[in-house]
Amino acid sequence: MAVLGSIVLRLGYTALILACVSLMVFGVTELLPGNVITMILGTDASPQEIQRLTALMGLDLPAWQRYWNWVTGVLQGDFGMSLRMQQPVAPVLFDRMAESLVLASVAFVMVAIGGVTIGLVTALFEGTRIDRFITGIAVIGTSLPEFVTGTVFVLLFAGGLFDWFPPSGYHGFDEGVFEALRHLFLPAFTLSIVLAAYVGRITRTSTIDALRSDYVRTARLKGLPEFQVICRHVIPNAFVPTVTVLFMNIGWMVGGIVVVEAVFVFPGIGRLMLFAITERDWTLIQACALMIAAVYVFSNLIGDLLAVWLNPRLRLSSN
Amino acid sequence: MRLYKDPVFVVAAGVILLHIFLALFGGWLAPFPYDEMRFMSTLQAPDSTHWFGTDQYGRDMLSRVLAGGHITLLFGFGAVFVCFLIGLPVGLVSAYYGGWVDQLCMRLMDILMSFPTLLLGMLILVIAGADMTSLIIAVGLVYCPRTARMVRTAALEVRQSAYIEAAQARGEGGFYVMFKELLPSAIGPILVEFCIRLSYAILLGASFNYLGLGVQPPQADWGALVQEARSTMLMAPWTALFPILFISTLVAPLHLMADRIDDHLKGGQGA
Amino acid sequence: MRDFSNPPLLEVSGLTVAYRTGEGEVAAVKDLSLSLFPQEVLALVGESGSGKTSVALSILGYLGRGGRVAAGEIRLQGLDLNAMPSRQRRAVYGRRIAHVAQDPASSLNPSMRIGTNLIEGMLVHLKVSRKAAYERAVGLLKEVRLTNPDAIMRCYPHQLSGGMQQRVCIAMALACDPELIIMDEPTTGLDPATEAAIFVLLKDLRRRRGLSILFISHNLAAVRELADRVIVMYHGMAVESGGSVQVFARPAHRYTSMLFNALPTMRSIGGMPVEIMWQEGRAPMQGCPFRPRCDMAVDACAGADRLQALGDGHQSSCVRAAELQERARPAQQAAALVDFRQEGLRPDHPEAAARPVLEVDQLVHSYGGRGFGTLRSSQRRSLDEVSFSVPRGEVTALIGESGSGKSTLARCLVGLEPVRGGALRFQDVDLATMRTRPLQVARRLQIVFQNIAGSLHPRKTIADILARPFRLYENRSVDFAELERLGHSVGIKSELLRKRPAGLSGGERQRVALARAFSSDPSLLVLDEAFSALDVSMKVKVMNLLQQKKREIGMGILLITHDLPIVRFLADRVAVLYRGWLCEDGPVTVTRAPPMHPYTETLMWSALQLEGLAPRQLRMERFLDPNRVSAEASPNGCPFQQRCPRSLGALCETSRPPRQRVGEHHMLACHIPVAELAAAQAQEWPEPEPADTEAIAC
Repeated sequence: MAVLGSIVLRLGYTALILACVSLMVFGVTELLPGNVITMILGTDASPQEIQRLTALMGLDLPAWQRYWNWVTGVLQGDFGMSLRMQQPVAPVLFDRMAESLVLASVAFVMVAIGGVTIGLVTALFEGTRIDRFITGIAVIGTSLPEFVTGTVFVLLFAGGLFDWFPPSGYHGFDEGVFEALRHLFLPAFTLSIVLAAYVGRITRTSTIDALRSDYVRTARLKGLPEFQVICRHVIPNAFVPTVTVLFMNIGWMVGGIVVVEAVFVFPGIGRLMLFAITERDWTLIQACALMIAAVYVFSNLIGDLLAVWLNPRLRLSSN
Repeated sequence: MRLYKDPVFVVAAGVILLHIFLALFGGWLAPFPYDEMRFMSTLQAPDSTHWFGTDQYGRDMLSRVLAGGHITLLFGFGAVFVCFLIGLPVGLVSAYYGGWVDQLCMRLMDILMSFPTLLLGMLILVIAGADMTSLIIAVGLVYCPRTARMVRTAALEVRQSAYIEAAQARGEGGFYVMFKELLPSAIGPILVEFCIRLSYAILLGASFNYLGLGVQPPQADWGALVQEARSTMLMAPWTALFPILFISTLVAPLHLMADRIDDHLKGGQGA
Repeated sequence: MRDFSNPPLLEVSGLTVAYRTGEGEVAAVKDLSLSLFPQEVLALVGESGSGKTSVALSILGYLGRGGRVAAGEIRLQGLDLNAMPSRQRRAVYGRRIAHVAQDPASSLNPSMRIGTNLIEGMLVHLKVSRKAAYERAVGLLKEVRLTNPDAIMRCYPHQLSGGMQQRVCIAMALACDPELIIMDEPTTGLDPATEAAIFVLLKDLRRRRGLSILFISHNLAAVRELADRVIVMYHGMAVESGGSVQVFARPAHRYTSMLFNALPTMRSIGGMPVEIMWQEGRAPMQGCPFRPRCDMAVDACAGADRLQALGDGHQSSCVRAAELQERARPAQQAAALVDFRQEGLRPDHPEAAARPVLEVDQLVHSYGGRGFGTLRSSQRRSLDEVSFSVPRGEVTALIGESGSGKSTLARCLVGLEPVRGGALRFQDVDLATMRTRPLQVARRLQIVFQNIAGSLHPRKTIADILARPFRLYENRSVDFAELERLGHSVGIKSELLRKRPAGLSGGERQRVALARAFSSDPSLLVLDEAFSALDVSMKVKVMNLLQQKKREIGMGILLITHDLPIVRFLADRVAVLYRGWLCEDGPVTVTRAPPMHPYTETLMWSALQLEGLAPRQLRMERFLDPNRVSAEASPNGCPFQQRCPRSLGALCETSRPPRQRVGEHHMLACHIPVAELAAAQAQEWPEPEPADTEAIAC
């Protein structure tokens, strides 16, 4: 019962955060230097033209009213008009968002599999050369920015040494799964490296902690086969932090995706955002920022909820 | 095992010190001005005059890389300074006072953290303009909630210690307890946080410069250099390789150092 | 009981266990041999550092990294345990040898239900169906006296209390009917009522199942009750072994005699002269390890490292064993200790009529509920209008179980918890109204917490730690000579002053914390469970030091503890708390003779029970069981009523007991009229012994 209450509380809190986020995004665009109107019309526009466009764009309304219009519009799926592209933002936004989500999903699967494997292996072989080697590589992996790893991969595998993958571009799934995956592989892999190394470290630590715990000692001294000890005693306890970290950091990937898309020229929401910023397209900036932040907040929420659900101590109250 | 006897730590620290040295004195060591274009010798492979080769405008890569180091470390340390200037007191106060103070601080930090770092930085840079100062402020602000959180966690771990309560029971004031008792106990994790945060700041800043949102040409840090090399790297890999090499050899040792300090803190005491 | 006709079940010969440390390999166990026969309980007794846990771990084959069996053999009915391949090991551990560990909470997998946990072992070893295993598990839970076993099977460990968790661990150990059970400090850390209840259970199980147990503990009273034979260990060596009756009655090693007789028990006041106990040195490599601390050491002790038979199964490594066995304790020692007690301020002393140093007046405290709309009335108060006082120059003991609110009261005193009602008058100042304490008040009210070692900042030197109060309260710095003197007054050598806490032993850190508390000349010293985790010799040292200080500076002491023997030794007055409510407040004689509050009675009973001294006709264990108490007692009745052996039923359930006065300084809150209570108790309890002067064989 108390758990339901805490879930509701979290949802409410998330809604509050989103509201603040939208305020901040809107506020940012208010603070942007330069005059939107003159940027569109040019500096030698006549006062009537200026006035007309101002009224048309609703820029003469007070800030809070513009904010309100914007938010109500967003909730109905209308993100306004792109200033540069002269078309509604929403379709482009959702399109690009979908592509990015595909990329992020593939990367997520790689992180989950790779990170957990690394963590388990290094924990079970703790202290040996395998452990030190893999951990060393993982540390190096976390310390390289995506643009470096991406660039190195392009150099190595997409035209440099080997020519296995295309260096850029996107291929829809409807045009052939294999080709699509071939295009997705390098960007997804680049995106996944840092997080996989991080997840691996967390998994390693929690697995080692579990292996050294008293309850594993009890299990071993009960005469259980080692395989059973690992599956039923070590893994369930060691994986709780891992799963939480995995989901809480989806949002991080959403951030890193901007750079990866830039390196691989991938048509996702990250490149859209970059475009919006360099072109000073305010409505587009607002829309992209809000979208990216929303995905980030929601994935944190899921991670939070999972943390509660997986941990019996938090899920059930004590007697 | 004492930290300074750990070979990994020593090597890592040495490499970082070398970078700092090069960053400070690179200007004098560089053979050419970093922005001097020589159209006679564009895209030349590394040789005795140009140790790192030249880029598509004939600029000496070695000089560019050295100048880049100066910029990178400048904004790196600057950003971390901003970060800790805000994050450290907030974290300590939050941990020590608890209650509504803690809730308020953490909620504020949460709101800042509800943006992905890159996004938040991009937004700040758009407002503040694209130059070094805004870059420092942007990166510092973006990371200060995370630092505050880490400091708070580290301080909370020792907050309930008997000696802190004993200090309170003695009648010690808040300022004393926070800075003379809490901080020294938590200095280990805070040091680790410093190293990691520095490395992230450098990476984030380099990413911004790669995207063209930070320092503008002809100034270039290593991230910007990699960006510039995009078009030429398949033909002239040295234009990308050297900046990449320098980034990796700065950030990886920082991570290794942080890792070693962390290990030392966990294993070393009282074992 | 013991079955000597069959060969021993477990035989350990010449066991040496070494650990890798920063300074090379150190032997934690040296050349130890023991034999455990079927249906026998063999106890390994010793203080922390004696190596007893290492013995258990080597039998279990779980020494971990850095530890190894350097020499010797361990055989389970001929089977060499150390040289087994892993497949064979799995057939032995869990099936033939079971283990009950010290901390039940961390020994149970937190994400696995109790039922699953119990059944696991059975499915692997016993080849039974899941259903059969389930039935068996339920049976086991009933056997360990857990009510509602079906519900418990579905619970997670954190939903059970410490006592219940330990019972589950015991059930788990019994699951596959093992031949040998190794119990490593199974009750350390549980509070006394729970501890007593677990011991009752163990005795019962042992009788019914004929268990063979290797029992490791530093709780001497429990060992005496439960064990057939005892081996006393010191610094890795066995110094004495024999039947437990023999060893306890006529100890044959100086260490054993000091250990057994040093601690005050319910029968005697115990205690050894202060000077002997101060010595702490490194154990010598050769000969008797106890030599540096022994007041009877002679040259021959340098070669005394072997157990010599004394006849009748009793062995000792002491060269003066025969002498010890003949000796009776000199009456003068007992007399000297009795003197300590007389020299406090007695209630009829003129100065005692002066204002008490601390007056607690209708103090109220409850947790949580700050804002957020929880109804105040439905919260349980952790302190419910508690009133008592601490007279100047006297020791007042505040006793109760865990959850009684005594630590909360200590925290309220020093300002770590806010007070919700009532007054806390300390030398004309009401602390309850203050959010933070002015320095001069804090100076005179010093507290020493349970986690004494942890209350020293790990990064500061001892000198810094001792100097801080001077800087804080008197705003002056101290020179090293003054710090040295302060250290010497508690037996801290000068060279320790430059070290950090990690470089000191537990006992030394404790003395530093006490020195720090004394240095500001407090009027009131609060000791919050300062003894519970200590070794026997440490307890004695501290108690003697307190007696000294009480005489010297006329300090008032509030002693918060659940350890009754120590209360009877040290305290002048007691206040008894039950779940935040003050049951009784009177002179320390209430713990000795009627009339006493029924709760005090059960506390006394469980303390006596632990030492096997409880009167047989009075069976109170069912009242010790915390399972009896339903979550919410009726808010208007007596809080103790559900566990009270003398409950009057409806009256006790529905109305608060009145506070009855017994004489001038004694308050008792009970519905039963005092005279009636006194009569009933006098009938059921035997005459109290003249405890102060009983001579113990030494």
